[in-house]
Order: sequence, then structure tokens, then C-alpha cells
Amino acid sequence: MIELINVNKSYSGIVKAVDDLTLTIPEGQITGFLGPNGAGKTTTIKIITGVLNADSGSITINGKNIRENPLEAKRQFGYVPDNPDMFLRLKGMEYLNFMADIYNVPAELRRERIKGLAESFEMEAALTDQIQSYSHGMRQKIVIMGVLIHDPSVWILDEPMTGLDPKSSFTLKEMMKTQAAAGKTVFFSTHVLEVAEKLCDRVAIINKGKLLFYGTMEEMRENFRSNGSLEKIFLELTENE
Amino acid sequence: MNRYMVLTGVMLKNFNLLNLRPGKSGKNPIRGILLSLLIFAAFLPMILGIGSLAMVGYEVLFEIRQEGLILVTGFSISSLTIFFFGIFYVMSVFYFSKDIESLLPLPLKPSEILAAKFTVAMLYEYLTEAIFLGPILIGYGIASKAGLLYYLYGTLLFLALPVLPLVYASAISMLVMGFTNLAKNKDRFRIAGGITAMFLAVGINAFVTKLTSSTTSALELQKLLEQGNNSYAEIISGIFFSNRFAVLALLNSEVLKGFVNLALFMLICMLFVILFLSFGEGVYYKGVVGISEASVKRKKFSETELERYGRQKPVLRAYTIKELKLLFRTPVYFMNCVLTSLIFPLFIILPFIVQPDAMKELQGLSIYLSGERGSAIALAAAFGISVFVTSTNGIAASAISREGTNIFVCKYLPVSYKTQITAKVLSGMSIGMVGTLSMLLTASVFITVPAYLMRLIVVVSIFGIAFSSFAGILIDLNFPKLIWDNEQKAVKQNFNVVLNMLVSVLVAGIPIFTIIALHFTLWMTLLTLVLVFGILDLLLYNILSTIGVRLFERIEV
Repeated sequence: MIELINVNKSYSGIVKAVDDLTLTIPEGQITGFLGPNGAGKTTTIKIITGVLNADSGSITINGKNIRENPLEAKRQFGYVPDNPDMFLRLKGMEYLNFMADIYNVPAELRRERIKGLAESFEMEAALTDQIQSYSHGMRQKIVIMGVLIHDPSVWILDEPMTGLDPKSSFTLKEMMKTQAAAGKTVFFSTHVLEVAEKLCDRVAIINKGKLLFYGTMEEMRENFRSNGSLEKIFLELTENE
Repeated sequence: MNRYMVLTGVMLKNFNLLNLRPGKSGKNPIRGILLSLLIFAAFLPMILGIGSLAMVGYEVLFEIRQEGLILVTGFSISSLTIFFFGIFYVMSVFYFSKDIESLLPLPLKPSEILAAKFTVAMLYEYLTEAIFLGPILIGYGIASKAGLLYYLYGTLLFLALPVLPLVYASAISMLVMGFTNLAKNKDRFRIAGGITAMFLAVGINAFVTKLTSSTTSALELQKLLEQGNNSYAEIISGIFFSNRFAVLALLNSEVLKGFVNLALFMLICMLFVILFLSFGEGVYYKGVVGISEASVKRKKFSETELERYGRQKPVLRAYTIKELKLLFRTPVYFMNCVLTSLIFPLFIILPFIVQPDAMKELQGLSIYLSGERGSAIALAAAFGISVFVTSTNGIAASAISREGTNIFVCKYLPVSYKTQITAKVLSGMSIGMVGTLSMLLTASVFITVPAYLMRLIVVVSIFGIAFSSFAGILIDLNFPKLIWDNEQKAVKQNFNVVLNMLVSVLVAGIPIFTIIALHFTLWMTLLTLVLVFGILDLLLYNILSTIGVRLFERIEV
């Protein structure tokens, strides 16, 4: 479970990126995080993961506060950032083992997982090459694998489908569903509304740092008394702001 | 021309040497100003020292009418330095920088990209010149009560001087890179190319020195000096032959001869630029197209590979190994951080290649070293070397900067900042140790060093290496340079590295000076070094684990 209470963040003290955001993301469900470009999605995710410090408010992950108890809190989640261009000079295999070392995954278990993940993401032939030789989609995959290798109870993904081929995208979505069904927390941002509509149990929509709506898909349709698509509601919501 | 101007302008915007630009969250600009002042203050004694040395030298050499020797020295050493470091610089900026990828698809001629990059390189070299050639020119001018024309010529020469050495450095780099780009495993070959270019540079230097020293025997030199009338300036030859015109222009600034020589110098510079651009037009793209291609095997991993990579390591070790892997595999980091600490032994070997007679003189040194005073000085000197070698590799002082915008990864990994700092320090210390040891071992080939002294040296070096690394990362935590578009900017164009060198050398220099001046015995030397730097290291370690950690926490991109 991720809990944000009255979180604020501004850049240079002027531009408000996150405005008094309160949000509880429950376990056992997939929660989508929607909003137009520059709405504050990535900033919010960076605050949750400890990459940025909030100006005020509190963030807890499985009850562990990211400011007060950062290491414990960080051990709870796996994070897929929006840009997968990192550790480019490491081989895929080295990166996965680095992550496994960081999260104390025992040798036996990690080998098993590497084999399984390499197979499901079709990365077997790439793992002994350096990550810089990977395409964008492959880099995305290796970062996702780096998260899955330590099997976190909270998944935080920033635009995870970008650049993935249909099969990998399908694999990832299936994995997200399995994780949620197993009682884990899955939180991801996207602007692909179709994905959100099909995949999410709940959606949070923000714009200009403010939460516009948070609830299940049914609640949303009821709320807006419309049978229209999420796209229609989304456009209405964000444009009327 | 227009495109060249635009391109240069864009590149200069990214120059950002001092990391003064405030970050997204509005970093305090006072810090940047403070840093600039600090750097200026740190360089000031050196600049003043060189300037006054030039003035004193003038008085002495004026007696024998050879005052031009000061200018000769200034121009020669500046040219050599620019040439030598130019190789590293050109390699990184012409070939390894990230902007290449975005420049190649644009409708630009190779020579336009080269010209813009060359201009930025020139500006960078002015900083090097400002520390050495600048004070010499001014010191000489004051001492000789030179007129306005001298200063005008001096300024023009100052601005044009880097052309020749940089063209040489570029030509060597372009040849080597054009060749290595044919290889499959680019990174590895690029590193090999870097090493080749470096050896070429050292080799050419040695060759030129040997050539000039053999053509002018001691006797001839004496005769030449006795002639007076600044005859020495006339014999400048070798690859920086045009420096002769520079010196003559300044010596005769008040008469026509001066102007003619200045014109000659400028003409040669222009010729070289034209040659360089037309040569580059044909060769540059051969080396640069496909530079970012990575080697690919695309072979399924075997069980043994899975086994080998998959051994569980403690967090600190895993993190340190990661740091070292990135240092060795990123060509720019390898050339600037790893290779530079391994070239120092070359400087020891070089004189013996050039002058084999020097070997005999060393026997006396060996005997001296076995004595009480000699061994004390050797211990202090070796300590100084360890500090110097470690601070020049710049690994600790750029450890945070090298992360660049990917610093965010350090933030979400569940590894304490203290552990991350420690791992970064350890990677710097291990390369520092390798550099120091290789230097000591090379030295011990030529000089007999008693075994007990060698052991003591290793012990004190650890304190020195730790000190320089602690100080380095503390500086970098204070002023991390995270916004850069090529890796070169993180390591070489990063004043944190220079600042750390100054601080390290200064702090290590005071006790070394005391030890030598007060005739400390070997044991007193050992005790002083271990005690002083033991306490300093402990203190710095404590600062790093408290204030350092807080600084790391606050870094945001």
C-alpha cells in the first residue's frame, strides 16, 4: 500500500508540480495514474520513490515513511523509471545481478528468476551484451527485469509500456495482473487510455499537480453519468480545468 | 560560416565549466560564486609565483642578453602541455561526446562540426594558458617595461598559440580513430586507440627532445648563450617551430621585425587551421560515424555464465565493482581517470630513454636512500606522490558528477548514502593505489629501495590516498556537476577535480615541507605522517558520514 497525505512540491518555489495531493493506493489492485503531459505524474512518482523530496506532506510505503525510514521504505518497492537509459556499460546479466545484490536476492533464487524472466521477455540472447547495444524496448525490458528479480511487494512503473513490442507489453500486463491478484500493489502512470481502461481496477487523474478524480472505473462512470469511454471523460475532466 | 557560428554558440552554452547554472530546484548561486572565488584564490599564489619568477628570471638573463629564454620556456611548455592533454581532450570531445549523435543527422559538413568543436577546445586551452603563459607574458612585460605593442602582440599570440598543438593532437586522434572505427568491438578498440595516441604523443615528445638535445651539444649551447642578443630563441625547431616567430615578435615588438614575425606566426596558424579542416573533411566522418555502435554477440547465456555472474556479493562490494566496471568500460573515464594514473611511470622511464647516461647518476641516489636522511625524504616524497597520483585521477572528485542526470538511480536504490559514498571512495582509492604502486615499482627498477622502506611507503601511501579521496568526494558532494552532455565534462572540465588537486597537494605539501626543512628522522617522518593524516582521515570520514550524507540527500536533478 502506498499512502500520500497532503503532499506538496514546487520547483524554484514558483511552479507547483504537486498540489496538496492525498492518495491511498491499495494492495491487490492495479491503479492507473493518468494526466496530460506535465501534469505532475512523474514528479509524484519521483517523490514516492525518494528521488525527489516533497516540500511538505508524508509518504508511506507499506507503512514505512520514505523520509524517516528511507532504506526500509525503498526495500518495499520496485521502480521502473520513465527513461531506461542507465547502466549502459554493464551487460544485462551484470545489471540483473547488481540489482539482485542490492536487494539481497540469494544466488539460487536469482538464477532461477533470471532464466524465467529472460525467457518470458525473450532476452536470453541479449543478456551477455552491454545494455548500450539494446534498443529502447530492450532497455525497458531489462529495467523491468531488474525490478522483478527482487520480487517487490509494491510495483511503481512510470510509463512502462512505452517502446515495448506487443508481446512484451502483453507479458508485462499479464504480470501486473498476476501480481495484483497475489495481493501486491501495482501503481503505474500512462497516457495510453485504452491500456488504463482495460487494465486498471482504479484510476487517479491529475492535472497541474491536483487530483481531479480517484476511484474505480465504475465509480467514474457513475460519477460522470456517462457510458462514454475513459477518453471522453478524461478529456472533459482535464480540459475543464 | 553562419552554421559554424550557430554550432559554436550552442556548444558554448553547454560549456558551463564551473557548474554555476542553478538547478531545477533553484540551487543557491552564492555557492557557485564562492567556488569560483575559492578556485581563483587557490590559483593565485601559483599565478603570482610564476609571474614573479619570470620577472626575476628576466633580471638574471638580461645580464647575458638572453632574457628571451623566458618567453621561449613559456611558449614551449605551454605548447607541449596543450598538445599532450589535447590528445585526451580531442578524443573525448571530437569522438566520444554525446552530441555527435544529434549532430550527424543535421545537414552539416564535417569541417563545420570540427571547426566548432575546435573553437570550444581553444577556449578551454586558454584556461590552461592563463595559469602558466599568462603570468609569464605579464611578468616579462613588467620587467622589460614593455610598450603597448608588446601587450597587444602578447594577447594575439596568447589567443593563437593553442592552434598548432591542438591541430597536431587532432590529426593524431583522427588518424587513430579512423583506423579503430573499423573494429567490431568499438569500446575496447577506442580505449586501445586512446592508449596508442597517448604513446604516440609521449614518443613524439621524447623524440623531439632527443633530436634537439643531440643537435645542440653542450658546447654549442654555451657558445650560443655567450653570443647574447637572444640568440637562443633562434634555435627553436621541432614540431612547434612557429614558437620561434612568437618569441621574436615579442622581443622586437617595437620594430618592424616584430610585426613581420607576428604575421608569420599568424599565417602559420591559419595555414594549419585550413589544413586541419580539409584533412578533417575527409577523415573525420570515417572515425565518427557509427561511433556509438556497440559490440553485439546476441548469444544465449550458458549455465556457467549464469553461475559465474550470479554469485551473491555483499552490497558494498557489488556497488564498488559496478563503479570500477563503469570506469574501465567508458572510454572517456578510462582515458582520463584510469590511464592518467598509469602514465606517471612513463615519466620516470622517459628520461632514461632520452638520456641513457642518467642511469649512472641514480646509483648515488640509491646510496643516499639507504641513509637516515635520504630514507626520511624518500618516505615523505613517496607520500606526496601517492596524494598527487590519487588526486590527479579525479575519480573521487568526480564520483557524484559522473552519475549525471542518472543520479536519481542512487536515490531509489535501497542502499544508504554512506555505503554509496564509501563504494565511490573505494573505487577511487583502489585506482590510486594501483597508480602509486606502479610508480613505486617502476622507480624501484632504477633505484634500489630497501625493503623496509618500501613497506613503510606502502603504509603511509594508504593514508595519503584515503585523504585525497575523502577530500575529493566531499568537494564533489558540495558542487556536483550533474548536467553535462558528454562524459568529458564530468571528469576533465570539472573544477572539482582541479580543486581537489590543489587542496590535496597543499595539505600534503605543508607536512612534507616541514619534514624536509626540519631534518626529521625516518621514524619521526613516519610518525608525523601517520598521526597527522590518520587524524585528518578520521575527521574527513566522520564529516562524510554526517554532513556528506546530508549533502547527498539534498542533491536533486
